[in-house]
Amino acid sequence: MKTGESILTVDNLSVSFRTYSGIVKAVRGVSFELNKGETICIVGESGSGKSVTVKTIMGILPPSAVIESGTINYKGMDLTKLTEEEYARIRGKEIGLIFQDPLSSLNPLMKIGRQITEALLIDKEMSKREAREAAIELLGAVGIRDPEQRFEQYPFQFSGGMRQRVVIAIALARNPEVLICDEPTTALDVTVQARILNLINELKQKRQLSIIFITHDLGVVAHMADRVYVMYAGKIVEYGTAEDIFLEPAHPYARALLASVPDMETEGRLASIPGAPPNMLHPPTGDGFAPRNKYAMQIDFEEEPPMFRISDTHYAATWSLHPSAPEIPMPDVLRERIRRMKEGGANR
Amino acid sequence: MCITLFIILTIAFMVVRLMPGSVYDNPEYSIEIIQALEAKAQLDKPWIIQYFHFLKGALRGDWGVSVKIAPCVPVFDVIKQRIPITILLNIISLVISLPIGILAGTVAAMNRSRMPDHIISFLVVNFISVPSFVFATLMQYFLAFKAGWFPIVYSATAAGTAKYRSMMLPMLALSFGPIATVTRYLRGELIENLSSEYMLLARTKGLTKYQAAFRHAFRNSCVPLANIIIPMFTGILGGSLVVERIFAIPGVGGLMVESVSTSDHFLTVAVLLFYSVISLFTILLVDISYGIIDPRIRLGGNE
Repeated sequence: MKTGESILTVDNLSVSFRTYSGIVKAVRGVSFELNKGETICIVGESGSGKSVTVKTIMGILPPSAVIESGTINYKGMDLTKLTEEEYARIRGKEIGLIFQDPLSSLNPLMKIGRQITEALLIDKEMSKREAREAAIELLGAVGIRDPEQRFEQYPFQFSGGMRQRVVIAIALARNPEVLICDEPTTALDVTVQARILNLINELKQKRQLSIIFITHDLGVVAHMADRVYVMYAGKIVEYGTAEDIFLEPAHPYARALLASVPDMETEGRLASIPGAPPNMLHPPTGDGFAPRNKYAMQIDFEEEPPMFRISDTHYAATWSLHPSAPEIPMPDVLRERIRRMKEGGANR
Repeated sequence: MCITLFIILTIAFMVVRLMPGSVYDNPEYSIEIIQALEAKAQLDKPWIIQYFHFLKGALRGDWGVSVKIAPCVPVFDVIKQRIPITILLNIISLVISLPIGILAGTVAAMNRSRMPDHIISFLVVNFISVPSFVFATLMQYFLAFKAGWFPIVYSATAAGTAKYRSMMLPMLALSFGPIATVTRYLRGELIENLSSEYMLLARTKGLTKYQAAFRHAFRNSCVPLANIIIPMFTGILGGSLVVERIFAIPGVGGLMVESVSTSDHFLTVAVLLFYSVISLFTILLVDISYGIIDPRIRLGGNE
């Protein structure tokens, strides 16, 4: 893996929501690092705090959210301390965001073209005509045919995949260095999904983007990630290179997640994770995953595990890595699959 | 539309004709004179014959003449005389209410759940639930009678500023409702649009909160707004029925009330018809405007 220069560092970020039923601790001390030119994936199930984390980075949290602690360092600036005006200069220009649902993220009553030129014209460096040219070029770049004609159309005349391409074009209009993709393919068909992922990878090469990719789909992770962060109950529980996570998962949640993905050899019942994610109104003490982990030890319920170092790139927060912890067996499905993957070697 | 109009016309005719008393009730007339007049207008025949007689005349453009309010003047000429003041009043009140309503709605939505929103919402509830004639009488009493800032009733004979001053109160009375409606509607639409996904996208492009709100949310909220503003014209026409009477304005609304109470039957039918045509026309206009304003409907047929 590349150990490039870090472009975005999130340190000990905690975000809570004030609701009528109490304070929801959505993100609890998340730290991660994005290096120039790499793609990191943040993996986790719904409600694990992935989306809240990226919304915090973009400064588009709803008013009920409060940043409790932590810093987001982007090129020497702490994004959590920016005023609204300063943030408007970061958004789109430095960091672009692609949303989950392309069906609702475009303004239904505005022509596609205007939605793109609107972004281009913010910097006031272009005439309207130039912006039009640039927007048509962008539409072509994200793989939309007849961009001239499409420019004049409305979102409802586009399919889901095409709309997501338009959203990507908008996100890239002002040449940001960092692109955040918040589950960009979840709402799309599988075939369209692959094309969008390829497009994002291709654009990453061309434009030297650094990408934060949020997903719950491990297939997508395998396709995209240089490094992977696994998130559970508002915390990062394990991180490492894609190889680290896929071949040597250490945290019981990461293992369970991997074991629940079907592959060509899967027979019989698909492995699932028992129980439900914790209610973040009452965040769990200790390891958040302990109640769903059949190998959980007493200490898992009582004390929060620190990050144990597995290798230079691979860390996990689980007591099972403590020197005095008993050996916990890898799930059978997973052991078998990892063996095949290692044999397959470069096939991945 | 023609069928609807025909049904309305029929019902109007029946209702009016079923009222007791004669058009020509007048203590100065002897029974013979009344009977002669009725015979001339074919009012001595059964109602079904009267009805066909009326339809025949209507098709030829002869809607009958007014009897009491403006004797022997064709009914539509009577209405024509009354229209300008009604229209003037309504248009002015709409021109006042729209900007105020839009402004208040925007302020409320942008400051959702904060003080300005609470104040505006409180006023809106009051303006919507209190009928315009209550405001009219209150203002007439306090502003015109007690304070003496305005004339108590409208004076048609006054010229220049005096005339407009006498129009102020009725205009205000007519404006409260529409202001409240526009405010409430726009606030709701804006709040919905402000929290939509495409607003987030607009902001991640780098637009400031206000730019994004104005260019995306506000614009999109105005689309459905157009469809409540158009019917408001009819709403105001209806409201002026009572308000015109309170301020003694010689408009169409007042004419309707007068014609009913003096049993000037032909005139009543004509005024009812006038209102119906406006309503139907408004509905038609709303339907057409949907297509013009919303591209999804405009272009839907092409696919």
